[in-house]
Amino acid sequence: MLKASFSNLIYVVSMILFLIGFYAVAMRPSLIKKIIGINIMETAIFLFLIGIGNKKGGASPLVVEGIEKYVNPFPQAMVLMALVVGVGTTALALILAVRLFECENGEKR
Amino acid sequence: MKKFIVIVLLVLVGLFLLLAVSKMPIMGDPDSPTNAIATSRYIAKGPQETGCNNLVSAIILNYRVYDTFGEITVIFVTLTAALAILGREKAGEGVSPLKVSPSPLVSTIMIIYIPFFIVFAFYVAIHGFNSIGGGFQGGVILASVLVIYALVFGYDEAVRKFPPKRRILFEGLAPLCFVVVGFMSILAGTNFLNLNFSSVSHFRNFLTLILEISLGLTSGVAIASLFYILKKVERE
Amino acid sequence: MTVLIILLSLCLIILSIFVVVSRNLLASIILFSAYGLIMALVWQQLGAPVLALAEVVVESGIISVLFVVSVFRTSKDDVE
Repeated sequence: MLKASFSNLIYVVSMILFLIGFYAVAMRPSLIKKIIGINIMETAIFLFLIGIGNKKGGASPLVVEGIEKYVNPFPQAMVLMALVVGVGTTALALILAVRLFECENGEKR
Repeated sequence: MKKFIVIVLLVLVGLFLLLAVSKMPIMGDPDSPTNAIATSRYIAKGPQETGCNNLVSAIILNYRVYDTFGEITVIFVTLTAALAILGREKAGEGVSPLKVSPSPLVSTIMIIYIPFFIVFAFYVAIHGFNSIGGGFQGGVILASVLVIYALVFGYDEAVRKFPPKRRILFEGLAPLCFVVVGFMSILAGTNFLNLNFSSVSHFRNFLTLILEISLGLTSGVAIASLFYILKKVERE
Repeated sequence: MTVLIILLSLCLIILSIFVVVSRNLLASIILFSAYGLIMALVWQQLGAPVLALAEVVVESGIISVLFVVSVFRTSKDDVE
């Protein structure tokens, strides 16, 4: 088990980052810290997906004459879309947090 | 008590994840299931079928363009929800003015730099066909230009320079571009958003370019608008 | 698995622990943007330069600015 884990080091690292983000979401009282935790979990999963698409000795997916072996481009495209959605969700969460703060402190809109 | 429960949960989840990781195929194995199915087609025929040497752009703008349409919808819905919660800012009204006037050094450097930033954003967006880049990256660089302008010259000045009226145009533009291109392909007799309907490859490349620039413009302007909405402070 | 990736991933784990543990919100946001930068380096090493560019621009550019603005808005005393 340990040997397999070492050759899959990227997976283990993304797992640890996911757990750290989970800890931040569960234990930190501040809302901003919770949102940072969600972002850390997000990037951990992106790291996992990119690790899945990796090939040993593969070039990055920009087609050049004379190179046959490329990294799998499909997970990368999906991760690019997820990055965009991640920006949107983070911004919306921050806006909700700001609105919540204003409601609690009795400020008018 | 809560801490104890969370620690137990963390250890449990960690053990399960470690078990799953130890059963995964070795990283970098060319024969693993994820690298087997559709990828060989994308790599072998991507440049001929889509006109993009950058395979990521080829996938998000041609093979999976329907997903990109959904992603743009997500950005649009986010912007709409943000507007519903906090409201649009108005030029020169209810916004705290800048207390410190911008340093002449910084503002002069920014005035010289900003055109180059914008050119770089469009370069990244258009160059995404053949090299590192893409519509989304270029759009976010454009958004960072608007953000830097607001940080250097003050929020009021930025809102006056880029008023919401001018931004609404771009915010609605890209979903519209996607719908127009989609219905164009329906009229040509193929599926929605299928770009390969004409035998002329230049026409397909032109449509891809339109989609890429509209993707960049919407994501960039929508993110900048989110920043302006978040920065808006109202004081009586 | 090169030595560089191992070093960068160690750096990632340490940075993320500091981000979570730090008491000062602004400090943890700055550390988070550094985390995004190092994550982009790891992705570049794994053969995804397109995503690395997007990650640098998004994670350490836009998202950290959004965080800083919202921290200023949600703090009790006027920091502006």
